[in-house]
Amino acid sequence: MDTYVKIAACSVVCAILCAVLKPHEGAISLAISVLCAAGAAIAALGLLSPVLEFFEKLLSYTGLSSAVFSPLLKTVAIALLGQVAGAFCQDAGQGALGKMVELCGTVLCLCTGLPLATMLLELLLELGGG
Amino acid sequence: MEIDLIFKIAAVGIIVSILNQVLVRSGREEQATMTSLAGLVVVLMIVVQRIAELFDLVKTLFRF
Repeated sequence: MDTYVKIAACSVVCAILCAVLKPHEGAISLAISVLCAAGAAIAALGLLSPVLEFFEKLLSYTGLSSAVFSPLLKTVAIALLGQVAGAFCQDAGQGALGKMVELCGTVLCLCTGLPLATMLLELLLELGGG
Repeated sequence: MEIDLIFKIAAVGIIVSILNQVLVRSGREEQATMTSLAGLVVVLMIVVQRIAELFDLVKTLFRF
């Protein structure tokens, strides 16, 4: 809760500073908003580490190998980074660049999930006796 | 969250903006452009460090 209040307050201050600076120094105004977003993301993601540790604990109880869980985590990370980088590009007025970053993230997600799909296919073939 | 950095960059922006106005009014457009560029480089050096920190955090958190 404390972190969230800090993030909200910083965001409001940052928005006011951006509004003041935008007519004169647009690039520095954008840099401030990017810095604030990065700081907020760092603060929020720091809180996520116990959740991920809990997931790993759950995974250890299931007895599944980490090869199953690892692509899932990587996909989440790629999606997060792609979304954030795309939003930064769109804020800078480069919508096409932002969309392209998101598209590249989607392609990378597909590549990351490919070993899982291959494992599933092999399992199905084995079950079918093929 | 470090709000000091945001205030620091805002201060740089305000100083660069004032310098830019003064230089433009005194007919030194080239120096005004160079001042804006220098300010932007200083700000980018700070911002890039934080973005690299964010990307490193995501990489370590999600076991890349």
